Amino acid sequence: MNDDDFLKTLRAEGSELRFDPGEVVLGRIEARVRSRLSEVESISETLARWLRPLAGAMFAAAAISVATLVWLSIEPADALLASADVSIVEDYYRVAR
Amino acid sequence: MESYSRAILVGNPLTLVYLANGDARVNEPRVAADPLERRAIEAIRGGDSHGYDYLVSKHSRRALSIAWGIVRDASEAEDLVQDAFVRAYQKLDRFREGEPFGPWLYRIVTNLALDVLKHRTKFPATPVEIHDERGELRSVRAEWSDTAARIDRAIESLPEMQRVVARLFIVEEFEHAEIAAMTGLAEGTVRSHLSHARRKLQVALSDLREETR
Repeated sequence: MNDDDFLKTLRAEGSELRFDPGEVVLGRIEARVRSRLSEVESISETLARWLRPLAGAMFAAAAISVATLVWLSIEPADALLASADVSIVEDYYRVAR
Repeated sequence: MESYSRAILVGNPLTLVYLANGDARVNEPRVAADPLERRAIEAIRGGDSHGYDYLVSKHSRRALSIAWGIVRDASEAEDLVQDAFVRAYQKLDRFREGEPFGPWLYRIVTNLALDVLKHRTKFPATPVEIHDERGELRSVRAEWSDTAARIDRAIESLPEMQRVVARLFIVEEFEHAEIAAMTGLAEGTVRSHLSHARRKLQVALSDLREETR
């Protein structure tokens, strides 16, 4: 008798050990799965409703940032410096004896 | 294809092809998924979640039996089968078209059931009783023959993974490769667990062993 022969002979009796839940339990599982799937769907719909405008706003902010960076890189540096007021402030310090 | 001596259905949507030497091959071309099942999956992918009702109705009995065999608690098994169906639905985009849905679902069920066992190791608890259809507690064991009850006790006395593998092999009638896929163990490890289990079961059920000679 090889390794599995004995185990296979147990299958004849062992199949009785399968759990048979009955139609009520199976019906309950079907109903609960259906209900949970509709919850999952409504959660994803809700998230989509909130996330869509948020994603739109973030996209707009990113576009504005990119446009600003592009404008800054095009604008000549001298022109920027020329337009800026430059002031030099001197500070005097006296060392106490 | 002469080496294939027969193809049998083992009470579930898995169709196993057996070699002449008795081993099962699951990696060979398999019988395609049930056409209704395929249509249901197409419908779900097309946005019609009602297609899932067919899959739940077809597989819930077997899934529950697998889960109960591992966790041995009816309400926990019921909960985890629901979880498995919901997870399978959410991951349906990863499901390979044309494959039978059952083995994929049973893998999820087995993994969730093994997680329950791990959790129990950390937080021990729970008696083995179930509610019947009227909500009354009864023992599942009451319906078994004496021999079946002895086999059950012998399987339950095995160390955890030997018990899980032996139950999937003896009671649920899965083959080594399928058990390996379901539990995430290597096929060699499954064979090793079964071999250890067999030795212990032969001692515990020595009179049955004599009868089979």
